[in-house]
Amino acid sequence: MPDSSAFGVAKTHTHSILRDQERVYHNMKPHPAWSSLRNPVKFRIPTADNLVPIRLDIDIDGQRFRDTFTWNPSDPDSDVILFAKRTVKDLKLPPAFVTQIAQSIQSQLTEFRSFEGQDMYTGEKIVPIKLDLRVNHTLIKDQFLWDLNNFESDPEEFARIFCEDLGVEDPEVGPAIAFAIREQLCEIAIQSVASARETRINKKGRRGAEHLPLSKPGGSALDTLKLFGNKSSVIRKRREWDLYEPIVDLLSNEEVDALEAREA
Amino acid sequence: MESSHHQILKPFLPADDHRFEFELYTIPGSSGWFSWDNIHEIEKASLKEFFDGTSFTRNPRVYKEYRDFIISKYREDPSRRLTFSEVRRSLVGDVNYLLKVFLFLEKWGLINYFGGEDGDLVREDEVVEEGRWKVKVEDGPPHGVRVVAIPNSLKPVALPASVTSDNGSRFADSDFKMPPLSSHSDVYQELIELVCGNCKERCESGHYEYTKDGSSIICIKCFKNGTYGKNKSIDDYKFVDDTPDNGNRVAVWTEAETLLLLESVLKHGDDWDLVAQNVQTKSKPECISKLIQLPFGQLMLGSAYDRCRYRDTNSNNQKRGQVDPPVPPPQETKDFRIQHVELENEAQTQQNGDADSEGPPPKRICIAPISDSNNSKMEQTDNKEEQVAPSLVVPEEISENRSQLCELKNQKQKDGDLDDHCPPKTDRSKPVPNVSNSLMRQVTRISAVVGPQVAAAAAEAAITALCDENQIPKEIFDSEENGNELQLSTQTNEPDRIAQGNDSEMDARPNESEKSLIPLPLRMRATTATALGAAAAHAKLLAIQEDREVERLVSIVINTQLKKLQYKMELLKEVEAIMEKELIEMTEVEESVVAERLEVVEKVIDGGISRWRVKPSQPQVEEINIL
Repeated sequence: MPDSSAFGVAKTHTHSILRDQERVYHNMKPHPAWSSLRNPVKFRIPTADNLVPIRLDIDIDGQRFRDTFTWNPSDPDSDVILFAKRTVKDLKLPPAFVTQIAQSIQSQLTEFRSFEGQDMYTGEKIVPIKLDLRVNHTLIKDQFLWDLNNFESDPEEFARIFCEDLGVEDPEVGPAIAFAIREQLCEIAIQSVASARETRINKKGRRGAEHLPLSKPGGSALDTLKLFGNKSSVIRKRREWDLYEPIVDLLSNEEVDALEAREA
Repeated sequence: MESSHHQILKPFLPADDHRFEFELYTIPGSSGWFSWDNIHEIEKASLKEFFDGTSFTRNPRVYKEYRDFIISKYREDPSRRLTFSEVRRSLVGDVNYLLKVFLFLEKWGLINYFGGEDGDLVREDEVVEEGRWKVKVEDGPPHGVRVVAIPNSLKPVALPASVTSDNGSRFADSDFKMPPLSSHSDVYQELIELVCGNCKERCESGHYEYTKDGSSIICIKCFKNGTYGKNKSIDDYKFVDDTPDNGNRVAVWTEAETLLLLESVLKHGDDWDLVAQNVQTKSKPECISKLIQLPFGQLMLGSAYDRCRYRDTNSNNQKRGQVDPPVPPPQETKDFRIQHVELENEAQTQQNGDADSEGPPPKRICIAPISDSNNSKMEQTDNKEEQVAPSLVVPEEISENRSQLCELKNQKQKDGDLDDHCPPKTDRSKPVPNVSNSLMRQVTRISAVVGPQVAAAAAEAAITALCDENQIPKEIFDSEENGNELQLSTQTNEPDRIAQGNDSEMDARPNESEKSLIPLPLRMRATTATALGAAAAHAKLLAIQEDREVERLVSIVINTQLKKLQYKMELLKEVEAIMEKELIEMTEVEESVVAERLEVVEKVIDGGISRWRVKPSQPQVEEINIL
């Protein structure tokens, strides 16, 4: 599996740019506290680092390359081709992959950037994140809540603690969990952009219809009022505990083979 | 799975069983602030998200539930490490915030703290390094152990009543809570309490003030250590003594202390050493000045004097004169009060019979309420002429009094030491109450109010004025005074005798029997003049004191206002800086907008649609042509 080394590359890459990205963010918003949460925010991944999850799945002449990593959208595009070249060299892939990888990354970045600058409604939105993934021999199932307003959340840190708490030894699991979270968050963010646009159109279309509930962005958002209202306890009912309990299973080689065969 | 949870949680559920209500847990000493019922400032500062009201999904109630649950969960089995993943499945909410709470509790050792775990192995004074914390395990009850109540149930909705007292109610009732505003005392605390700018402790006995702006203060300890602060040197500081009688600084008295003071004053009178001992927390001068400042303090002191009859009221008067100047108003009231009390006494003692009343009590009769004296003063001037005639009858009475007086003097000489403490002034006035002459009473009354020196000066002035009118009286008075002087020196050795003039008035009478040279009207006039002069002098004195006090207060007010203004200026500067920043941002935005616009215009021009402006004008031209 070429995954691991590719991960390494991606990881170091993102971290080197992280600081730049943060600085840009802080320059642009000198008074983050002033921007009320009720106001629409410009589109971004609702985490501390605005990183785009990139998923590669390239098949050339029967040789399949699959990888996932995050990319800083404010990086110069020239880095993409450099990264592709480096990856192909490190993983000893045929040179044909270079353009494919670069193209794939570029197109995903372009799609992400097309949403940038648009408003997204995140007001009081807590979404359930569901994990159901397999990394090599480890099978992970989990479910938890994520606050879309928390722009200081850190999926990587969460994943690290997850692995620590559950004694996961495979070093690939952590980044995979973090990526899965980011991927879902990105999807929700894109949805809320779309719904923001929709509500704007609605407002233009029929004035005075504003009392109508802003069409529930994402649809999957929880009823926060019900969950956090005065009447309900934030402690879950005991029968729900198992639902939100993280499950880690170690699979045997045969099981992995069987699963892969089914996936393919 | 489920059943096992129930088993673990069982100890918490039977809240009615008192054995389960208290259990011992070990937490680090540094986390002693923790309480089930309250949310401490440390928690509010570390987990701002739950207290800034930015979202109703994060409020103090939610935080408290998280916290209580996590800690209870850990205490189900303190020996094992509680993991975040174990906790989060049971809690509703953003995992990131949950993680933050979890890490906070772990950092403070409220969960996953294994300090006392292997206490059997580690003996006293052995410092164990565990993770980030230094843990000291001691024999016996370690200081880190605290008895804390376990919440009766896991549902904070049904929290015990005690929770809804205090802060708990605030958190429970309202979803949103604004962050605590900085109060007046926060901002001005340094001014109020004189807190050292370095070590932030209260400066008890004295402090050094930074002379350049007077804003910073350091305590003696810091001064000695040489920690003067940034850009400041030893020469910039000026020592300020903080002893409580130091002018504008008033020691803070609690109600309990004041009560104690009053009690001990009642018990011990003006034995201030004993009083101060009783009050304990305050020094002798503090006690004295406090009592004087109390509106009714003098009344207390007066009644205390009643008990200690033989105390020297005159010396008290003098002391009063020395101690009081900073607070003149109470002094006046004090006089009134004493007079009232003493008038009552007078009534009593008079009932007891004349013989008894010859003792100290009659002295009080002379001090009638001043409120009267206004009227009587009027009378005095009105009656001036009238008095002359009736007063001709007086001599007989006076002669009576004279004999009384002589008796008294003899008595007094016999009494010797005991009466030595009696104020001379009151000696002088003893016969007066028996004199029906109201004028004399007025004089003694007024002269008793003012100090002896003042009365003396006034009398002298009055006599010289009279002497200017007439040459003869001078001789009369001179001869009298000579005689008086002799008398005085033989009578007692006390140097601070009451007004000579007064003396001459009173003591003249014995001599009168021999000489009977002084015409009564003349004496009347002298007396009146003395009284008026004394009253005027006293009024002047009071006015001066009042002036000084007003001056002092005004200066305090001005100082305070200046400081206030300084603070405001600082705030304004800050605001200005913020505004400037914003302005810069705005100009930047403007520039970018202009640039963008330029770009657009350029593109438009490049695109060759530059003539679009002309087009709409063409029809107009045509129209004009048509017209």
